[in-house]
Amino acid sequence: MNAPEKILKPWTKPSLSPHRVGVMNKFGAVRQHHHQDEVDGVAIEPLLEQYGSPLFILSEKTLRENARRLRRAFATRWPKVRHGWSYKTNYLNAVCSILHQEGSWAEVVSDFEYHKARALGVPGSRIIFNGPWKPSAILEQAAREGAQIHLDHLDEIYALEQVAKGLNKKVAVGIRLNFDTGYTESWSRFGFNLESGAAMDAAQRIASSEWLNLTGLHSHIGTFILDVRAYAAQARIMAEFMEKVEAETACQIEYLDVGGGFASRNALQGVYLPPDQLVPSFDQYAEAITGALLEATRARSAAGQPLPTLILETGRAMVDDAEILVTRVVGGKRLPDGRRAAILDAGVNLLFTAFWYNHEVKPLRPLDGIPEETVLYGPLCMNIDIVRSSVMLPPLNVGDALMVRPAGAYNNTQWMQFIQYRPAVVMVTQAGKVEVVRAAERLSAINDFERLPESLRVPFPQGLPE
Amino acid sequence: MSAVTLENKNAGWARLFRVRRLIRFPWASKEPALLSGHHTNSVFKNESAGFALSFLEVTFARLTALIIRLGILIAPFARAYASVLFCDSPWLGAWFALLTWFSPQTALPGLLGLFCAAGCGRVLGLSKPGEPHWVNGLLTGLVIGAIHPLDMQLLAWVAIASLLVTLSAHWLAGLLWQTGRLPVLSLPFTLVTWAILLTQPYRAATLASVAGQANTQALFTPWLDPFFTSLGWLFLVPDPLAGVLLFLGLVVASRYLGLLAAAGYLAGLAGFHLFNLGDPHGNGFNFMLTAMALGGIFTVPSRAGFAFAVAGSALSGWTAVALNGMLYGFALPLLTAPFLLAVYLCLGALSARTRWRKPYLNLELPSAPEITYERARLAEARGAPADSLPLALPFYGEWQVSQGFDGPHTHREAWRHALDFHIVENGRSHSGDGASLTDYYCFGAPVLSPAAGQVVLLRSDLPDMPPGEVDLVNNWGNFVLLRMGNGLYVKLAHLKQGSLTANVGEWVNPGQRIAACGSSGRSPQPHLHLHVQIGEYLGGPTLPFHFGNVLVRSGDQTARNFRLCKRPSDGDFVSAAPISEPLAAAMKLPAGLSFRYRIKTPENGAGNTACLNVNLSLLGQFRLTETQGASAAFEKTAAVIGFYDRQGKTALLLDLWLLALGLTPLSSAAECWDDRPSMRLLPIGRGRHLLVALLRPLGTGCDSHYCRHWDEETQVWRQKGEHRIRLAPGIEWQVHTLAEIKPEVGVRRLRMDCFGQTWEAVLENASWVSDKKSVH
Repeated sequence: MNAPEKILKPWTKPSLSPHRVGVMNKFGAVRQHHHQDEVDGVAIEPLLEQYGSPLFILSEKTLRENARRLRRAFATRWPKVRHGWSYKTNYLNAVCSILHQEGSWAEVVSDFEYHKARALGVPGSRIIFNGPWKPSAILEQAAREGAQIHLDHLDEIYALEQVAKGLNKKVAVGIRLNFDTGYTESWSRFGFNLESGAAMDAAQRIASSEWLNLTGLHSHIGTFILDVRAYAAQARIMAEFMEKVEAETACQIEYLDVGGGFASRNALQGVYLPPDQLVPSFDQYAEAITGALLEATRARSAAGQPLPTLILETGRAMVDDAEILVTRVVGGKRLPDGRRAAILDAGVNLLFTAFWYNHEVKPLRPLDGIPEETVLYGPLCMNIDIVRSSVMLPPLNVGDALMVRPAGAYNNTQWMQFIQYRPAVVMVTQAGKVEVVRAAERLSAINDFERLPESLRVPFPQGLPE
Repeated sequence: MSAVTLENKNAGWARLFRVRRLIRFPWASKEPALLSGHHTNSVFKNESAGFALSFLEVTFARLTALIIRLGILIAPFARAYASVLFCDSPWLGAWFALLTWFSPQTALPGLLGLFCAAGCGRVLGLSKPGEPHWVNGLLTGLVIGAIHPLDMQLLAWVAIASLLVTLSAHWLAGLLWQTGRLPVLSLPFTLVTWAILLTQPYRAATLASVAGQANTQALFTPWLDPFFTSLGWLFLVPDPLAGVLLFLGLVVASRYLGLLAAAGYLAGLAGFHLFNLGDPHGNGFNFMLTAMALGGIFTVPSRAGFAFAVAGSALSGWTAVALNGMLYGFALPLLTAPFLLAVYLCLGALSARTRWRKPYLNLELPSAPEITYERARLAEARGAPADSLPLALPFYGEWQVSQGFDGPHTHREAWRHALDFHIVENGRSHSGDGASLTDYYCFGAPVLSPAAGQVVLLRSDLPDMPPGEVDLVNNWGNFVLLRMGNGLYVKLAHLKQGSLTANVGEWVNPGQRIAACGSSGRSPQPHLHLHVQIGEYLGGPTLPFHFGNVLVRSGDQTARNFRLCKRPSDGDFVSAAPISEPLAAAMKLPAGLSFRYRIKTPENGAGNTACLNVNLSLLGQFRLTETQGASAAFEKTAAVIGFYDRQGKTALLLDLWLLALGLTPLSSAAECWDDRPSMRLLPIGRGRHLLVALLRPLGTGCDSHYCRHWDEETQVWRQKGEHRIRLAPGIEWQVHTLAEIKPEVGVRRLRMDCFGQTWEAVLENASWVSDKKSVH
């Protein structure tokens, strides 16, 4: 019996996809469906051809605009404002230099960052030196060069006192405070606690020192803080502490450093609302901080006493949206649970922030097909290398380029040299030119620092193994 | 020789040298050499020679000291002579006094009158050099000498006249000042002389006899001689030669006064001849005095002032005719009456003006036209409009003027002196599409009080209008009206609903936050409106105002210029210059401080030292004084230190300081600014100074551009000045200065490069002048 000939179709795993009417949801347009093929008018695809994939692309224009926006927002609300560029957020020399040109000081937290700032030509007197560990050599250099040192613990007070004594110079210092704002978790591991009285003890200790002069207060209440009331509380608490310190000691507080922590336009994992609706603007942060400060310093200004300088160490919100990572799809697969997956040539080795953000992912050109839930994996041979665990994207082909943004904060400082070369970073300048600000790594970048003992020079002294 | 005698001898020498230093021998610079020579040779090796030398020197020193003491005694009397022609120099006065002896018959009673008036003043407790009775006494004496033969009776007449002059001068001075801030001038002289003449039966004949004594011998031409003779008449020496010599003295003292005298004479003559074809005889000096007083002394020299002076002189010509007719019946001479009448008429009328206009009056501090002009020139160059009110900026940060004075939208007619501000970033005043009020950068930004004052009127309940919409019923929207100490009002309008923190009756300080920027009233988009007005009601007429100590950049520039006074125009970005405490502390100049600098000049490579002292004058003016007595006033506010009113002789260190630091903002954000220091500060040599004096008789300023930056390596602010002098087309000089200001030290180094040569002053030490030293 001849069975009728059947047409065999390849079997595909059944998948369920919701029926989507149009592209609307209650929050407006679906974000991922757009594409973008340029940065400040410079086409991205030719850059990938030239510099290879993956590629970081910085926008000088966006960075400068952010810096000016921050300055405008605060300087129109408070008489004396200063910004310290948080080096750890992105210490590419180009980024730092742009911000210094915009008037920002350097905010460093280690000897490496201090050296980096000095090498860039930032004078010591324009460096804010934070961090829980300042090795004695760099502490001495900072004290000598007049950096604004913020002390973290009592032992550091003693150490700096010795340094100052050695230099025969009275050193102006600030202390880092930690306290409960009522809105955020207290980062009690940094600085002196306010509620326990440790902060006042430290102030008294410095006030009684022959070699130190307490001129400032610093605190950093956390990171990616979406509730501006936390900053209002912080500013109020710090201003109150300033009054108390000045009343109880002979110190004159010249500045209040409220640290950083402003959220960038990025989607934190586990947060429901999109960043456009959730992330406060610089103006909103500024209004909260200066409003609280003006309220708390009313008596002070009525008495004709000088108002303290307000220092900001905004990092993330300054640089995050000024840089993108462009990556290519190197392969695709269908996961057993039915989800589509794509493997990219950039993973968490370059995009460390993927651990806590759901970055926006955009194709460089309009892609055909129905968007469906897709997992984006990186190239590492590690299970945790996931760029997006779930993103709605149309089918992706090998070689398709995707833009991951914002990627300016922490990625260029926390990236790993793990089994991969770190790629080039280019910058689109204000003039529309493209400059390489960090070349792609080669083997020598790693090997040059290694020293191979003489006896290990030959890999197979007995001949090639079988 | 015992130790004691040696010590005594040395003490004697020290005393001698102190005397010498005091009286300034011409060879004072050789002093150290002399001193060392004395130590090695005179005393220790050859005592007798030393004694001879010391005896001669002591005698000479005593003699010179005596002469100087005499000079100090005589100087005020000489000044009285000089002040007849509105000058101050005792040397010039001595010259004038000498010239009066062309006619000894009048010169002696003149001197007598001066002494008598001074004596009367002293006895009555009214005496002070420079008081008006001195010069009036002198003039009265001169005229009485002309009408009275030289005898004992004359002495009595002069004494009586001097007493009358002394009494009337003080009474009239007070009276005139109170009525219209008018100067007393020679009014007492004229009145008293008339009174004396009225008691003299033979007055007319004797005056004619003086006229007869006049030297009729022509010196130049019949056209030129009367001018000099007229000038001579002022001192009762109607001789063209005396007139020429008087005029020469005047021209040496002030070219501008000389010019005014000539121009005034011509104008007065014209005025005189318009109504009277006769000869003004000895009354021509009235026309000169009128022009000098109106154009040079009591107004700030300017074109308008010159025209005013000439017009005044013409008026004095006419008054001479009129008064002549009036006084003819009494057979009284005109004396200085036409001058007085014309000056009082002109100054009295001008001082009644309510608006500040050219020519600017200078009744409070009349001084030489060169000094007045220099003060006014500097004030104008520094941009303080005389009729404008200074305010502080009413906001933090940098805002842009969206509508200036005489703006196209609403700043018209009575409300034309107003400014609108908003915040602009990257050329836009809002984020997003600007459909919502909160999109606007300035919406809700703090608004500060621009002045000290009391809140007299406010409204805060009106809603902020959505962008594009206006409330034409309540045009001003929410507003606050402050009454300032000067009786004028300042208004801030279109404020945010409910944002006003001050209440009616409350006093506010400049810089105090009083509201937030909003969009209420006639406000198509959020902005801040500011104006100064008259009257405590909405919509009062507005007055001009400006801001002090601001950083300004025009719309298309990025460089911000520091401006001491600035009225921003449409599109300008303005922000307050933040004060830099270390810079302000480094430029602190408290009274009693003394700086010693080592000066290197092209002639003197090794350098000698000079000192600058900070003094507080009787009138409460801080002055920076170099040891020689040359000084400049300065004013230090929280934001700026400015030097002005340079007086006295050439003093290299002081002039260097004034050129390099004349106007120094105390804000490290002030990176560049302009000023116009006087040309006289330049060490350009006599020849060039003469050229300047000829081309610019009133003096002129340099176009100076200053830049300052912080030098990290040496830890100093380097303030560079580039001074350009454009004397005439084709004559342009350039001078560079540098001042290094070090925190906690002060002005560490001053340098000037001028015509390929370098002058330099390096701070050696700064100390407080001890009590002992200040007595010395």
